[in-house]
Amino acid sequence: MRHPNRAVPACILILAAPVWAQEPPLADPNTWPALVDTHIKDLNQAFAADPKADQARVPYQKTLLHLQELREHLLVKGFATTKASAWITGANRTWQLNVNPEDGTESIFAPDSTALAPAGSSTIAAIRKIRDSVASQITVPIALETFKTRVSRSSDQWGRFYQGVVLQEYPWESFLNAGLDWRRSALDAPPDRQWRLLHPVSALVAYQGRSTTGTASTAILAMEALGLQWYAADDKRAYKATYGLSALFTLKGPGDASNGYGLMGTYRDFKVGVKWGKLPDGRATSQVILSLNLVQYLQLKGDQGLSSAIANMGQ
Amino acid sequence: MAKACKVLFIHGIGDGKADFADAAWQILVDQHWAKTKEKLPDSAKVPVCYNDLFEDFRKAPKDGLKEVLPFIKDAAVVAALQDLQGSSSFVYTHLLDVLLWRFHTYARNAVTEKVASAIEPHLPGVIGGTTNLVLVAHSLGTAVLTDAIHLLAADGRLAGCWMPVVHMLANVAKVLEGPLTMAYRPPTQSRCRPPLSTTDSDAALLTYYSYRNLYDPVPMVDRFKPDWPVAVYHDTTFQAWGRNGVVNPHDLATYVQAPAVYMKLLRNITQDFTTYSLARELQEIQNAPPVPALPTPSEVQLRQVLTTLITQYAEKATSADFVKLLKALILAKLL
Repeated sequence: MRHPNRAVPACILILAAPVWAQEPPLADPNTWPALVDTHIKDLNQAFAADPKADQARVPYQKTLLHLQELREHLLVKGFATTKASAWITGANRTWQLNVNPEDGTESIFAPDSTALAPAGSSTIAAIRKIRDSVASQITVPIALETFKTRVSRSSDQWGRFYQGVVLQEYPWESFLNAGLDWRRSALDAPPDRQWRLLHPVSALVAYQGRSTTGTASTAILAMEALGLQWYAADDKRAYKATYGLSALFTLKGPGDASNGYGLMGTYRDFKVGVKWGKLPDGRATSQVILSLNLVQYLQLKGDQGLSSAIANMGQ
Repeated sequence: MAKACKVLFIHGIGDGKADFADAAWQILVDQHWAKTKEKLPDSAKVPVCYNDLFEDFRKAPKDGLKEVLPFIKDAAVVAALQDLQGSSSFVYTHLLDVLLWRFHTYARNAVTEKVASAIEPHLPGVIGGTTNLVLVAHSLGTAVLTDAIHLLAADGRLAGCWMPVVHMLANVAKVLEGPLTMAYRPPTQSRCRPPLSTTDSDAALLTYYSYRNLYDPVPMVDRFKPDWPVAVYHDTTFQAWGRNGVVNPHDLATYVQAPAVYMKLLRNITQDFTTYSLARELQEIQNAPPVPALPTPSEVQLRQVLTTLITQYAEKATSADFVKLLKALILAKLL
């Protein structure tokens, strides 16, 4: 019993991509089984009348099997995508014409053995006719759709990862991450996280808790000693940083007695963290760190109260 | 129905300008014209470039210097860093390209996918029998193409069909093979191979051509020497110093100018098995013009250096010899 709902996608594919067709696709999908039956009948007749039948037996059997599978999928089970893909692979392998690049002789089936495709065999002639008909009307259109599906899923995924993530890293980070991840092939999806190592960070503002100078905030220079950063593809399929966490090393600033250390979290382009250090009078101090763009964002939002609250922390 | 021919050129190390294949293509056009008085259509030539990915890496991170500069007080160091980012020195271009390809998983994957994506649009024509696809890779491009074809086959984009033919000039697919997929050694040999038996269903190619200029030291290291059937694997060696007496045995055009190379390429491109028959190829090789006179003393010196290298390493050069070889080539200003 045929399941029309599962057969429909194949029919759509056949009708949707006639670019490579040498003859127009059949209008009525219901005629396909009859066409396949005709091919099977012609093939059997050609094989029965073939004086070189023994030499053509393997390609004959393979072709018969492909046609029977095609008929079964069309008539009984419908053409599920995975099964279609497997069938296309087998049929393409069987029917691809091999032109020997040395002398131009043509063969099909076994590329390194012309003995399996004897010239002048009526079976081979019938198979070629079938191949031309089926390839133009079924195999190539479906294969084209398969490519399209794959392209939308994976094309340039690594290129986008390379642009969005790898090129944003310093060379030592990049080689470290790639080295640790050496088992990931182009067949795999790109990773969703990367290590940060000795990554300089500027445009940070520290809000002083216990200031001797009375300054509410100072620009600081810091380095992400070690951290982990996650990435994800955005709406435009570009890889962007999502969130991360890093151990921080900060350089001595105007209000500090020494270099400091801290922790910093990242969310998209924004950074927020805590820094610990010593004041010139020897007392320990803790400061809140914000990235400049976050400070600007908070002020743009008009939330002066929040900025003030951060500035007054620890008083 | 005549097939439309597409010849995809995949460039070698540090050679990724858009016109990198022009000189080689012109040789093919000229040779074809001389033999048939017909022009090869320029639309058949398709240069495939991936070097921009390496170029981007050299300039990365984009805002990196801006982040680093506040940490550096010494103006000389700042200037040196700025120079380095835009450097075109050999070490910063060619060697970095090799390092990125061989040891940087992500760069390798991005390059592989880029080249695979450049081949992919031609596959429907191959399956439908309407396109005669000829792939020509040079130097580092041979390793890249090996991985790209493996990727196309492994993720199903070949849809079961075989790629007709690849031509690997100065083949370094073995020495620059990846850690996961060997160029031809089991158990993880690349699918960029011709069928090794009638039951080899993983093979992605019908025929594999590999070429080596004996004066070219680059493919000398860790040679590409698979034990493949001669019916589907053709290994060609020849000797050529370079065009017009200039010593450049690794150049793409030097390879293509060799009769043993252009005759095979034109045979595949035109599918003319009479004009470019095996007998004509042998004739062409025998009738090749003699090596031109040495134009300058430095060319003489380069030839001497290379001859010494060839004598020293010949067939036995290993990866460990690579540094010594490289040093000699840099000293000889060949690279």
